Amino acid sequence: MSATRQHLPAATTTPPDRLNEDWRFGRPQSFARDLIARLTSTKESDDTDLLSCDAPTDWICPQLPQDAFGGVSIASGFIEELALQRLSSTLALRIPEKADAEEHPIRIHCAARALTCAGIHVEVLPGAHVRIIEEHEHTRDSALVALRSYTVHPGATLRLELRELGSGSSRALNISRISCAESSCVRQLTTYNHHLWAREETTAFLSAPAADLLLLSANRLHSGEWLDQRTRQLHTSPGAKSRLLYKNIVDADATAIFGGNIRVQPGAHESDSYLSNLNLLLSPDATVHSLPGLEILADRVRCSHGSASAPIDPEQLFYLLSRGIGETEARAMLADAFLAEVHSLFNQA
Amino acid sequence: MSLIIRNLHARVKDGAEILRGVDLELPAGEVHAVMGPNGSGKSTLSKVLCGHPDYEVTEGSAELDGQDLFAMSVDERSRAGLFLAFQYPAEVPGVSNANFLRAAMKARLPQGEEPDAVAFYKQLRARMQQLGMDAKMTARSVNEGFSGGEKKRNDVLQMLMLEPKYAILDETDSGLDVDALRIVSDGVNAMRAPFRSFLIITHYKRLLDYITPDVVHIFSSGRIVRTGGRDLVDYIEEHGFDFLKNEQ
Ligand SMILES: Nc1ncnc2c1ncn2[C@@H]1O[C@H](COP(=O)(O)OP(=O)(O)OP(=O)(O)O)[C@@H](O)[C@H]1O
Ligand SMILES: [Mg+2]
Repeated sequence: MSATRQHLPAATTTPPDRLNEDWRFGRPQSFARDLIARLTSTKESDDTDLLSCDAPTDWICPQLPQDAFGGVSIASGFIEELALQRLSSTLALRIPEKADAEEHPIRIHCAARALTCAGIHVEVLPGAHVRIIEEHEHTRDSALVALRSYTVHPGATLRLELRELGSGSSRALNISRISCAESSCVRQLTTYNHHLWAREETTAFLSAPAADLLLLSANRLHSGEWLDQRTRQLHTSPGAKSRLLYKNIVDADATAIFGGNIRVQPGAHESDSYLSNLNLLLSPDATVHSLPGLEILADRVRCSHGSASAPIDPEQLFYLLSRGIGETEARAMLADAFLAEVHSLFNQA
Repeated sequence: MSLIIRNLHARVKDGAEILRGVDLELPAGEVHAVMGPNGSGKSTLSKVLCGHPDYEVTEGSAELDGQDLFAMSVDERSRAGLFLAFQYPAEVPGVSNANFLRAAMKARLPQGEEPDAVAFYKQLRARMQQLGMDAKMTARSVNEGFSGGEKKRNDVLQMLMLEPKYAILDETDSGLDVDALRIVSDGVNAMRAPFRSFLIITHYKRLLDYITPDVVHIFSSGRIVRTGGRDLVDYIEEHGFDFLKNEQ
């Protein structure tokens, strides 16, 4: 256990510091201790496969490819390695070339128990069009480490929805990589519901021209809940496009943390990218730390980033009230409206 | 049945006093016009009556059909029959016009009851047609990206749907094109009834040629300084508000 203790993550609940890259990619704060304790304990075992998928059986591969996961975490490498060693639930899915599964989404279901380490590896082959709904369903006090890898080949489209269905006392860590090939189109929407603690580390690779990626997240955080999201949009090829919009409604004493970065590598000219984190604060006790950033090492790029956290606009609230809508209803309508933009972006044709 | 305002004083919260003793009685069935220089407090009066949180009533009273207006919350005032068409209607991204109106109608029904969807949309379409509004506006977010005139029409649409007893129109004519001005005036005239009254704030005689007021008030420096008939409108059109300077 002493080895573990050395690696115990430092708390990163301090406010962000623009000059401190350590903050942006800071290690998960103290909640992760519990996760690490479970990962290093021999007691917690999880032998049964808790992943299921309703895709046609010949799309499901019997084996994971070599090096399916690993090396993409944002500051949780230690946890990623521990999880790799005890990966008990795995799924490898290959959507065949030119397959059309847009109309009827493929469902991936993961049941999280006391400790579930899951690996989900999906390849969308050239020209395929697919919609996937990935649900992580939690029980009381459950903990999940999910290693996710989505590779979208040339000309393919993927519309992916990740629904984290927490139990109020659950913890989740999603370490994801999304690779976008030439002329691929990828849209991901994540929603985190009712987790005591959830962390997302998403790295997107824009490694070919005309790749088009949209990363979305829409969350409501209630009393006592923490959501910590770290993202990277890595442009290594010229002429790709990536957009990110993460929105949170932060209520009571909940905490939302966001650290995001667009990196345009040398030579990735004409990259088109943005990054935006917006938070609606429903309570004076809510905490938000947000630090979006840009690192641009190429020319002729169009990149922007932004972050804003604010309470409900009093003029909007007054307008609804002045038409006779009760205050509770009016606030609920404005909260729904705040997230509506994310859902409409995801659902746009 | 009337809206009675007595010696109303109000200020911006922790700021300057803007209303300095407003007295006004608006009986049911009447149309009153309010004219007055920029910055005299006309919009402030209308927002104070609706309970805007920026302002604080420091003295005086307002009664709506015998009820103490200032004892009611903003939404209660609306459900009691008060309506304000704003000089600058707010934009509410993410709330569709149709959902907004349905929520407002629902708030007027007993707890748990929903407006009949078919009847609601039928009425909504008819009212929009009456105002020359595109049917696509129902799905758009409230006032988001609307032109100035479209916002004004949208507020009038809400008035037609909610059928208030006391409607305040704050410069609804500003920004309307000539056709829209006529359409909106026709809408107001069609709503005139013995149980309904209007307080029309305007800078222009043209609107008052379409909607004939029973009484005209001149507002200056936070008070009503003169009350008269329609001839006051013509007097101001000709002479402006300069005469007020000598009277203060
Ligand atoms: N929320 C506020 N904060 C600060 N000052 C305010 C506020 N509301 C009104 N005022 C001030 O009170 C005065 C009256 O404003 P109001 O908008 O009521 O005028 P008005 O008569 O409606 O003018 P107009 O004809 O230009 O619409 C102005 O000097 C204005 O700047
Ligand atoms: Mg005004």
